[in-house]
Order: sequence, then C-alpha cells, then structure tokens
Amino acid sequence: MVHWLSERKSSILFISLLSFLLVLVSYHAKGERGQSRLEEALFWAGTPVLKTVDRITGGMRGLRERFSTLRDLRMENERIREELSRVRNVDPLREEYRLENQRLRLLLGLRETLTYPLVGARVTRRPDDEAFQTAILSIPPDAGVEVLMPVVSPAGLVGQIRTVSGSKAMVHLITDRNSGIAVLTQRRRVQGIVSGEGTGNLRMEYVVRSSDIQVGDLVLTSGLEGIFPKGIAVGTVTGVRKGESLIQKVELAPAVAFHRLEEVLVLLKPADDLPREESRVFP
Amino acid sequence: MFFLKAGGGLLLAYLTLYLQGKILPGSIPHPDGFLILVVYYGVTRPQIPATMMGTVAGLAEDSLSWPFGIHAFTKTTVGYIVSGLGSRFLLNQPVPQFLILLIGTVVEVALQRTVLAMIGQGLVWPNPGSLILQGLINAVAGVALFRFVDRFL
Repeated sequence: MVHWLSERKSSILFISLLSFLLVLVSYHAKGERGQSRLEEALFWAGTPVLKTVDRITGGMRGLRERFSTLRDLRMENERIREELSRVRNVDPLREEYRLENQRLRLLLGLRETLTYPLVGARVTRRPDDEAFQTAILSIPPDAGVEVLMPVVSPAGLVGQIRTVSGSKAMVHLITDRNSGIAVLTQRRRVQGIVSGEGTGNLRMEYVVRSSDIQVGDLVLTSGLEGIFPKGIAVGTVTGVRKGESLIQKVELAPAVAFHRLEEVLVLLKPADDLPREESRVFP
Repeated sequence: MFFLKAGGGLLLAYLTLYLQGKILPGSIPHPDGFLILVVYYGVTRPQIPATMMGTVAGLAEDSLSWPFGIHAFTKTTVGYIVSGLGSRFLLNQPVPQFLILLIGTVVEVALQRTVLAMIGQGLVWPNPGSLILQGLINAVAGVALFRFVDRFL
C-alpha cells in the first residue's frame, strides 16, 4: 500500500490540488460578497511590490520631465523655432498634463455633483483579458475605502470594490458576468438588470417585450438594488432583439471606456445610506 | 538556488503582469510570464515541483484578478501535464519547447473557459486568431527566455 502510494504521489498531489482549487474557484465565483482570507493575504503580500512599481514608474515620469527641461535649456534656438508647434500643443509632456487636467476637472465636476463623501483614486491596472473584468486602484491609505463601495468615473459607473489592502484596491467591473445592476432607461424609464457579457459589453435583462427601448437610449442606475446611487450612466443601447419569448434581449455598450480609464472616484457610502435626491447625477 | 530562481521568476512574472495591465491597453496580446515559468519548470523539473510551481504561480496571478483560484487551477494542470511529457520525451530543444508553449497557451485558455462555464460563468470562447497569436507570443518569448536562463543563470 505504501509502495503504491509513493509510486503515485505526484498524481495524488495533483488531484488533491485540483480538487481544492476547484472548490476555491466555485466558492469565489458563486458571487460571495467580500474576500476570503487567502485572497486577502495574497493581495496584501503583493501590495508592496505594486507600490514599488508605481513609485518607480512615477520616478521615471519625473526623470523624463527633468530631462525634457534640461534639453530645452540647451537647445534654446531650436525651441524658438519650435514655438509654433508648442502653441499647437504637440509637446507630449504638456499635452499629457493638459489631458490630465481635463480629466481631473471632469472628476472635480462629478465630485461637486455627487454631494456625499468621495475619494479620488488612480487606476494602476486595467483589465487585460475579456474573461477577467477587474482593475487595480491606487487609493489614499486610511481614506476609508471598504469592500462593496461603488466606483464611478465622469463617464459613468465603473464597478464595486472587491478587495482592499493598504493603498491598493481591486475593483470588480460592471462588465463582469456576475454583476447585477438595477437600471432604467432615461427616455422611457424602462427598468431592468444589467450584467456583463464577459466580452467587455453589457446586456440588460428582464425587459418585457412590450417595453419601448430603442437603439441609442441612455441607461442609468435606478438605485433599487441599494448599492449604486440612482442616476449614474451605465451604458447606451446598441441592439434590441425581440424573439419569440416575452422578454426582449437588449445589448449595451458601457458608458465607460475601461481600457482607457485613469482616474476614478470611490463613493465612501453605499447608496442606501444616502438621500435619494442627493444621489442623482443626471437630471 | 532552486528557491531563489523560482522566487525571482515569480516576482518577474508578477511585475510583468502588473505592468502590462498598467501600461498596455487591454486586449493587446502580451506574453504570459506565469505560463512561461510553469512550462519552464515543467520541462526541467520532476512532476511534484512543477505541479507546485503551477499552483503557486496561478495563485500569484489570481491575486490580481477574479474569480480567485481559476489561474491556479489551470496552471497546476499545465505544470502537471508538461512535466509528465517532459519525463517521457526530450523537451530541451527549442522546437519542442515552442510547440509546448503554443499548445500550453491554447490548453490553458480552453481549460479556463471550460471551468468558468462549469461553475456558471457562461461559455465565452476567445477569438481563435487572437488565441493563436497569444500562443505564438508566449512561444517566442518563452523559448528566448529559456535560452537566456540556460546560458546565463
């Protein structure tokens, strides 16, 4: 028996590991809200590495800035000749700051519209695979960010905090298959539930056949699930299919371009804690 | 030396994954450092360390995505299968390594999507063209890295 076991120890280890991992995946995929100890520990262990990378890339940006200034001083004559192109904003660094300023202004506008506690965060990792719709945020430490808090951008709803560790947080994007957001259309107030397609797009479910939905309709959060505040843009209708059934299939393009997302706001309180009228973003 | 190399490889793969998500826009195919690491241990080590490396690498990858455990599941399987093949065939040449990395990428993605479908996440197959491209990128980067490691480390 011992001989038999020792001959097959790699297969036994493999089967045991697979069984354990299958249980682990099923547990997490079941839609359990919150994080497990193992997930939390691994995310925590990786946080110093991620922070170091952010510091290095930030430092490189500063270095690039200094180098650019030095080069400008040494090449004054050429700079005068390039005056015209600088006026046209072709200087990449200036253009970068201009665009950042533009995005931050939009965030500031959103912060003023949403009259409850918010904290700004920088997106340090975007989703790189259609099947895994998560992003990593760099958040101010001790800002009060907690699991399940909604995340928004000036363009619309981004998702929900899944894991927090120090100055890093993982966001579960709305394009994930497990998302379920109560929504309504802005034009005819048709209600439904939006979830991810798993391909980066969204679908609106539980919309009865007789409901008036058209391509181009703006879809907003309705706030009925008690997590996301009412009135945040979720997406735009891109297709409506009325088959044989009583329910029509509605396809949406997300309001947020997740692959270009750079700064977001985390809502520090869930929607249920807030007065409904104050949580309105759009008229 | 084994643990130092393994730890260094894991750290490098982790940094690469994080930087890819930080710098490259999504959907642009890029090398999967964790898969390359697991295949390397699969072709150079016995089944138990290769399988364990698959689990550890997958869990490290899972800490940056969701659902937690899916990459550990697929990478454990890849590590076990590749090390099994490694004990039966000669896989220390670039051509078999290239093929193992290419097929390993396809097998991993197919397994990933199948498990996700089995646990109720729906079945979404990736575009075959981009999957093959992903496999070729992994194969080219992997073979180059294997040569580098064998020669200098």
